[in-house]
Amino acid sequence: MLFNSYVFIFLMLPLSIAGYYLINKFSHKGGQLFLLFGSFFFIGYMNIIYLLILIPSILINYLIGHLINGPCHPYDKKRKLLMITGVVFDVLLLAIFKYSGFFIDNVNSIFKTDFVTINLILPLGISFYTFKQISCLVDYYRDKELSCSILEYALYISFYPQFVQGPITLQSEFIPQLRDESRKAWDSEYASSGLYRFTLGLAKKVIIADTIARAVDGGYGELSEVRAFGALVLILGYTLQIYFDFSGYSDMAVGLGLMFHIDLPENFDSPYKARSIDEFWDRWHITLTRFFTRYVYIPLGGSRKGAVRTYINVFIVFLISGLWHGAEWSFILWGAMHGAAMLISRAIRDARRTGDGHVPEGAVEDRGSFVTMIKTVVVFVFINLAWVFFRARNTAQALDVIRKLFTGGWSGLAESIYEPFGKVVEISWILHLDVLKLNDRINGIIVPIIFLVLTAICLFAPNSRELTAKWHNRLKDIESSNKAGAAVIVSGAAIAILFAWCVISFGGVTEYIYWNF
Amino acid sequence: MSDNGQNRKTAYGKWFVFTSVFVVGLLVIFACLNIAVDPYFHYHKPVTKYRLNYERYINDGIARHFDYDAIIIGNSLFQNFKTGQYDALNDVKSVKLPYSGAGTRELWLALGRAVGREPLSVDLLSYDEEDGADFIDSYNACSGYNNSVKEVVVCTDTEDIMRRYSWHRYNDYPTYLYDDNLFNDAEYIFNKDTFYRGTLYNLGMTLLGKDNTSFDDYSSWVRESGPKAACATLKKIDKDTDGLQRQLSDGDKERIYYNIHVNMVPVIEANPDTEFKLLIPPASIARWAEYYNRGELAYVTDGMEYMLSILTEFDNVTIYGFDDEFELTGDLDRYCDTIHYDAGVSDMMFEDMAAGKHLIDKDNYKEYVNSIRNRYFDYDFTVLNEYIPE
Repeated sequence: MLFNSYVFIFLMLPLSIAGYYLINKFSHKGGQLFLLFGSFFFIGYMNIIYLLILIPSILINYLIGHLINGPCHPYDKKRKLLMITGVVFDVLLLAIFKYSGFFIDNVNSIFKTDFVTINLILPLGISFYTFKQISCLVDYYRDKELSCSILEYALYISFYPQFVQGPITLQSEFIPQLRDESRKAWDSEYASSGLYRFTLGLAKKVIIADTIARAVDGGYGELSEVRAFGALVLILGYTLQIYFDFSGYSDMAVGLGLMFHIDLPENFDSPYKARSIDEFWDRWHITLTRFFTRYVYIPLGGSRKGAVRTYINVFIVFLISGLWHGAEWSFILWGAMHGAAMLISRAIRDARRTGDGHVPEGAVEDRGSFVTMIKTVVVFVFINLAWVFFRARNTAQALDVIRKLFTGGWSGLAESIYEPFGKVVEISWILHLDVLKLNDRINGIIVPIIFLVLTAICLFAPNSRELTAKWHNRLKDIESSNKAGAAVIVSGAAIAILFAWCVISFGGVTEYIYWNF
Repeated sequence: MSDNGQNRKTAYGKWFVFTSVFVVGLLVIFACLNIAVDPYFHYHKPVTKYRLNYERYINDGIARHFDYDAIIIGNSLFQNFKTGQYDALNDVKSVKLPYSGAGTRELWLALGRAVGREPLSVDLLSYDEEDGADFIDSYNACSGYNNSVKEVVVCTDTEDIMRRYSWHRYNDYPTYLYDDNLFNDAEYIFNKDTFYRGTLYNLGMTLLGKDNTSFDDYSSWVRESGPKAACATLKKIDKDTDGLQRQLSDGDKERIYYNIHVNMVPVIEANPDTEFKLLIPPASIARWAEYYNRGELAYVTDGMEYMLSILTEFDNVTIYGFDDEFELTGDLDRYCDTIHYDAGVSDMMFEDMAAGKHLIDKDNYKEYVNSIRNRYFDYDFTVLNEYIPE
């Protein structure tokens, strides 16, 4: 089920929230059970097979986790063996469903064999819940005293707001909140914050990302028509699309969590404002970076085994990250590009370190300085180019897009880019109004203008979390004044209009970019 | 909780209630406007001036809510037909239901729903025989019977009928307008495209006193025609090509049989008092040149003969074939591509039908097909090469 669907907005969302708090009044466990079945409904709505893979996986992981850290503690070696068994099981499950086709294709290609490619269904959210389950097993092994009931564990894994695209929560930050008796009752502050944040995310996805997607999909669909300017617009378009889409989803997930009185971790923090590639990964898909740091980078040795090993470890992490994002060489190449950029960034930083390991004075510029702006632009350009490999059908197509940048000729924008974009109702209004009297030229100009405005928003405007905090502050201010009415009406009406605007825009919805992970 | 804390909770509570009520209010007003104007006639007859466009969104509403006793239904070959002319010639009140790009399955599913006035399981559109289901039982859409429809004119393109019965061009279909399920109507009533391009537009037409789109104009078109346009997609013709290379196999016959029996026969049999006028439009000589290039002249004509042998057996089916109108099919000034003819040809066909010309029955269908074979099997299609792009 998509968040941006009528069945979710009109049925799933109100019923799951109302049912959860109503049942919580009588039984906290009952509320959790209701939420678990609600989540199963959400997951199985599109295909019941998703559940047939998820539920056994939960049970097996819970059993192994229970054995690792259960009441009868086995000896350490057995605990390690159990942990490894569990991790291997999870990785194998992911590999079978997500990578078997890719693997067979490559074997056939390299060894000139003729194995039949298996087209298995890709279970919803498998990449995400695999990582959550691995984190649980490792945390159990690390003896963090994280025992929980099967109900709590199953709900932690399948909690629908964050099931499909994260954030990748840790058991230690989710289950204590689930158990907290003070969180079982309706809290209007949490619910309002959740609604506010959810609406911002919904707008980012439905109104912005899906509109951009029309131009990007159109351009990639008819790439032969695209020239240098079109390639530039396509590249920038996808950079914007994936940000507004994925961060929009994460906003919705965080907002929904708040409606259930649960704080989910932030996943984005204005990533395109990053001044280095390290900083980008501290701001983009934050919980994935955290997972890779804790459960891949550190077990590989982290930075404890010398500079060379550190660099190798970083690169390995990014190769795995690329593969995790998609079973295609272009994703691995995308990961390798980011890995290489990280190495360069670290090498520069290491070279500037003084003997005591500190970066010297003046090395960290204030935000807003000219050098910082240049750094931000360089990082932004690199990220744009890297996303081409992420979006393209394969490496050859990605290289074709980049080649067009330099050899395509600077004629106008391809019709395949602006034509579907102009069909969006709101864009068609702008085209009709034609305030600047550009006549036919407006069709080719509207797309880059809107993309530039959105780029400026990404680089300079506050993000959803910051906007929600500002809104909080405005409502808090009314504690000491009698202006409650105005504050409530203005911000409430704005959010209501935005929410309704999103709902009436569901027609022609596109799938989330991260859907098939 | 402190007073300040309580105030804050109260403020958040008010905010939540106000925002929720505001959202619900906005959406209810929006939905009510869409339902009241109902630009795709999903719930009722038009109450405002209306525009006819977006065929697949609007045709089902026309079929269910307009007053008529005849239906003209077909793909783009039927878009230039004029209901006004047909009504005057045949003393009926007709509606036109064009489905551009439609194949047999889509047309007859829509027709079954129109004449049967029964809910239609649009899952059938994506139904595929390879799933092993019983294809006859699955077709329950036309079980209803409604004698208010006296006659139906249906486009019967031979090539369409020679396709697999499950062939259809579009998967992204507005199924919520076809399945009579109130719940998924959300996609219609909470849809800004419907609102802007339908509801607001129709209200604007009403306020400005504009006329409704007539069925004569609905989906009609004018395009550049002529030999170059007609032959634009052809490959150069080689006189040594064996135009009769492919023969109609038993498997091909089975495919035609299934297409007719799954898609057409249930509707025909469920509506014995309705006359089904199947119209075989005139394909240009350029189209026959395509068949020649593909070595399919015998295959297509044999398929046509087999199709006619089945369809001429029904008492309530009348067939009109225009492929033997050789003066017309050879005049490429009347065609904008290999199959699409100008509006004048549409007018001529209605006139001939009303005059009882071009009738095909079980006694003459072989003669009809033989005349086509005689015309094209030995035809020198290389004369078209001068119009075919390099």
